Amino acid sequence: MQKLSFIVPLVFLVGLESGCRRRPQVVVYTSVDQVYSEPVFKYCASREKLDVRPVFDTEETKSTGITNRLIAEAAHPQADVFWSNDPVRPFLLLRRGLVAAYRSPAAERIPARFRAQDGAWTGLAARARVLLVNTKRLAGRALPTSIRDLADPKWKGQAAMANPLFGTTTVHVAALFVALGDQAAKDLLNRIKANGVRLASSNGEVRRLVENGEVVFGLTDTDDAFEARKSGAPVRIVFPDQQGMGTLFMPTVVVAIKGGPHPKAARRLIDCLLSREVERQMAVRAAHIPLGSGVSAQGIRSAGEIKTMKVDYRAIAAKMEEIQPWLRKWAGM
Amino acid sequence: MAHSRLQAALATGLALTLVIALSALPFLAAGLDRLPAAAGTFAELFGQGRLWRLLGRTLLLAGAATALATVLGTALGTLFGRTSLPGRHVLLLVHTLPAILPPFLVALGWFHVLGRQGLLGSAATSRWLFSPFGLVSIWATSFAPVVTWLALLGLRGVPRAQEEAARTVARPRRVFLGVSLPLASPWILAGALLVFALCLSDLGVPMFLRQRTYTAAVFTRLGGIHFAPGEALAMTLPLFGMALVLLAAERLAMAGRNPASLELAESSSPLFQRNAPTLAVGCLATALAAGLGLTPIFGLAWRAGLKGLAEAWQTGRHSLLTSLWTAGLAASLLLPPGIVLGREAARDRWTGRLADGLALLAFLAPSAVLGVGIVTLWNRPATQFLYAGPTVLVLGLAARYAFVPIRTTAALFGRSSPSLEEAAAAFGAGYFSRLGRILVPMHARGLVAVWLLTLLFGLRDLDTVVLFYPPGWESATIRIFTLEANGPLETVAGLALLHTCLCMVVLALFGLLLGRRRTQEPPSEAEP
Repeated sequence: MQKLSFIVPLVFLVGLESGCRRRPQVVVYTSVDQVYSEPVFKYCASREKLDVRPVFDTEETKSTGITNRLIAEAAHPQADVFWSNDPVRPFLLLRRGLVAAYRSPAAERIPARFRAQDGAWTGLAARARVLLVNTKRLAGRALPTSIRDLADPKWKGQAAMANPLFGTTTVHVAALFVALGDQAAKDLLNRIKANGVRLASSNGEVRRLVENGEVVFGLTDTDDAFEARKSGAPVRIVFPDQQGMGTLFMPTVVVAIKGGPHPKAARRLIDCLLSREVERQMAVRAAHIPLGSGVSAQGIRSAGEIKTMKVDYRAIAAKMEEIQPWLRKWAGM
Repeated sequence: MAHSRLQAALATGLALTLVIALSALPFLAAGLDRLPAAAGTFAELFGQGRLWRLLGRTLLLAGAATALATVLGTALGTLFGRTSLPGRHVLLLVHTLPAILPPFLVALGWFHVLGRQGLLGSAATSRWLFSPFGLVSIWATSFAPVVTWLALLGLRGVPRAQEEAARTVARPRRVFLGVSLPLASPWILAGALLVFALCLSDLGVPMFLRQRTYTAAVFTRLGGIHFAPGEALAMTLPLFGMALVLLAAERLAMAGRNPASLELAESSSPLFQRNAPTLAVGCLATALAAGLGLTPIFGLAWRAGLKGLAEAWQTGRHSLLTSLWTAGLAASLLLPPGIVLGREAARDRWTGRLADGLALLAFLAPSAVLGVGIVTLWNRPATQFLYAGPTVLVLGLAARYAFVPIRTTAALFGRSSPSLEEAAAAFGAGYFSRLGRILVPMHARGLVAVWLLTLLFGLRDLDTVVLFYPPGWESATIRIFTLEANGPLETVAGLALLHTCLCMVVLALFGLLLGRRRTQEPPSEAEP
């Protein structure tokens, strides 16, 4: 037993990373849901013969947690690539000079409005902000069709949205500020709050609330909405404001990190992430809408079929930071 | 003699330096880097009352959970420790299970039992679970075993002669309430304080149950759109204050005794006569306690099924191995200084008290600040070889759980008389000889148990490492936490179950090492 007490800990030293990997390493931080991004990284690792090392974000701090880690590590970057689940947070990195421009040949098939001309950022595989409606709870009433329905008294206490301090809800709220103007957007949000809209911790929770019939409808992303539909729940997906300002589209975005330890491998990973196959996988697995040409998936509408909100993602990024103090008060944080 | 004193000073100095470097430096790094920003925002953050109300709410929730856990734990500690109920040793281990698991895994298990689509779930049970009552209940049932064990040890530490003297004039119930319980109360109070600290610092359960707590707000503040760790640090200042208050309260509760030297007592004679009603009530209570421990695990197993387990093993075994060996390395790193400083604490020296206090503060302080401190401290060119790889996980776990080996080793060494070492010293044995040839061999089995206990704490950790885990080296708890929101339920439950099994194996080894043959004591002659 005495010998065991010294041998057992030593066994663990054998488990130390030996550094014997032969494939070039590349580190990617991502806020794309792990269940979707992990298979993509495995595909790219296999295709490009890379050792892909991912870091995933948690649901509760979606996207901003990982972005802030990138900023915290700015002095000595650990990541090579950042794959953001929204198009806005990469601008936080751009503004701080943490991004290295890379014009990938694979980006040529992505429409110009979804990428930077200098290759600083490139969008792919988008989500849309939709209303997920529980048709049983709806009980024959007219479908909600607009964001403004969250503030409609006839839906008092019957709707949900995720915390606007994180994730894609922040992007959406900032987009509303840009599209409607500050005062109109604040009025709308205050009316939404007064209308008893339930504030969930994440889009996933909004989906659960709608699936379970705890609310009639909720504001969430297309991937969560499609998961609800796939699960057999009595739900319907509505692309809001098709007669008005349009539905907000949020591409996922890839950027190369300046000063990352493995720049060559980073470029190969980016080329893979922007490929048709990855967009196809994201469409099939995660119901993300392909942006580039030559990709289609059953049940997924193409970007051209939906009226999208006309937005400037850079302006949304700036607005997002500006409205934070007001949003924190609004959310009670 | 001088040579021995020099050895002792060197060993103690090195051990203390290591503990300070591991536990205190990250907080210092975070503080020095962010304190100006924190000071600037403190008035703005706390001037409006929102955060104070949130802190008050959190203290209330933690207090309620602590009260419930204390009542449960004291009753169960009595039943497990001072009765002769059949099967109590096994039931005690089963009851202990939730305490050795990451709390949010316990919550996940209960979700699969009481959630809307759970085994016994409905809309009503789901609403209850995702409410403050659910949070308090999960915390109480997860952490009650801490009080159970300390109550058990405290009650066993009651001098037998005092109880027997009291029994000549009073009934067993009065002896228990008037003599045994008051004498055991310092340990029970220490357990309650520890439970309160665990509730206050927990991140996983409030986030999973969508309950707003102060610690979760600090964590999400670090994830907010502004990268403002200064604000997060400002928000943690009240928690630091709470940690100091808890430490002071614990010292007071010990009433001058060395808190690091919980003496494992020898009195285990039954307090109550074994008759049919007592047996029935006792068996029911201990079975219920064990049932509460097993139910969430059963929930995970039910949800996972064989398919989920297979999928979890295929996709998550690397994370299980990462959890195991990083926690193992952290335990190995902490054991040698734990031996040196535990001995100091057992001998009631100031170096031992200082190390115990610092290490306990590091445990009680907010994990979010530790995370920022680890990044600030270790993400430098000279230390990239530490930060960029899995070693940073080892450092983070060691920073957080240094108090475990110090305190438990002190309790272990406190059982042996210093006279053995003094006798050896009289014959010229130096410090290292006495340590290596007397103390360590004498307590070898106990030291392995200490190592296993430290390993368990590392295995159950989520809050510490979630902010800085290195690429490709996610632990099982992180993987479960990140997958829980959108991953397949069966796979997530399967991984949680595999992690639970790993912790159970370690607990079983710990139980085997602690178990010892006892001669059966004659039943008490007390009147019913």
